[in-house]
Amino acid sequence: MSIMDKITELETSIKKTDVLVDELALYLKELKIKTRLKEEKILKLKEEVTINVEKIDEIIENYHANT
Amino acid sequence: MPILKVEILGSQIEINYEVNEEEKLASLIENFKRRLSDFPHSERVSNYTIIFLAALKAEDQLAELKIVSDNNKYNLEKIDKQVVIIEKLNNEVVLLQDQLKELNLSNIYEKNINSNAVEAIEKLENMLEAIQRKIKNSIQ
Repeated sequence: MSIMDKITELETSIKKTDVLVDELALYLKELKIKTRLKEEKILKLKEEVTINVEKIDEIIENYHANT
Repeated sequence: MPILKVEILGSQIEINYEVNEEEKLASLIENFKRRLSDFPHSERVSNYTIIFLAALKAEDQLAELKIVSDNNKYNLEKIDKQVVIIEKLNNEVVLLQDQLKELNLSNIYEKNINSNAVEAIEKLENMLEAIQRKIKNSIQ
């Protein structure tokens, strides 16, 4: 195999790698977005839980006050 | 056929000759007279003796000329052999020059391939650097 054939083969391989890297980068970007959305959702849920815990505490406090 | 009358050592001699060889004959007679004049005339030495000595000297010169001629012949043969050798060498030189031309062409071809290969490798390096940048950017 001549050196130019080897270089052509290497170029093909690098182009395939380039396409694969593009796909992986896109996948990584999507993962980052999903992760960010999940983190936002978790923060929201945490806030709701905090509010609910406060409400429950208030209910328990009122209950003890009435008994 | 014309006749030339010549006087040699006091004797008259008649010689037949071809018309176109008159000058040559005259020149030969003059040469022979000069040869005879190399030997001093005296009453004690006969004409026959002078002619014999002149002939002997001529024989000696002929023998020397024969040696020179043989040497020339030997040298000519030697030169002929050398000419053959030189022709062979010339053919070899032409052959080598052709081979040198082919090698030069081949060398130019190889240089072009190498130059193209270097350019292609530089292009591949640029592609690889671009891929590395993409990976770094996607990780950040």
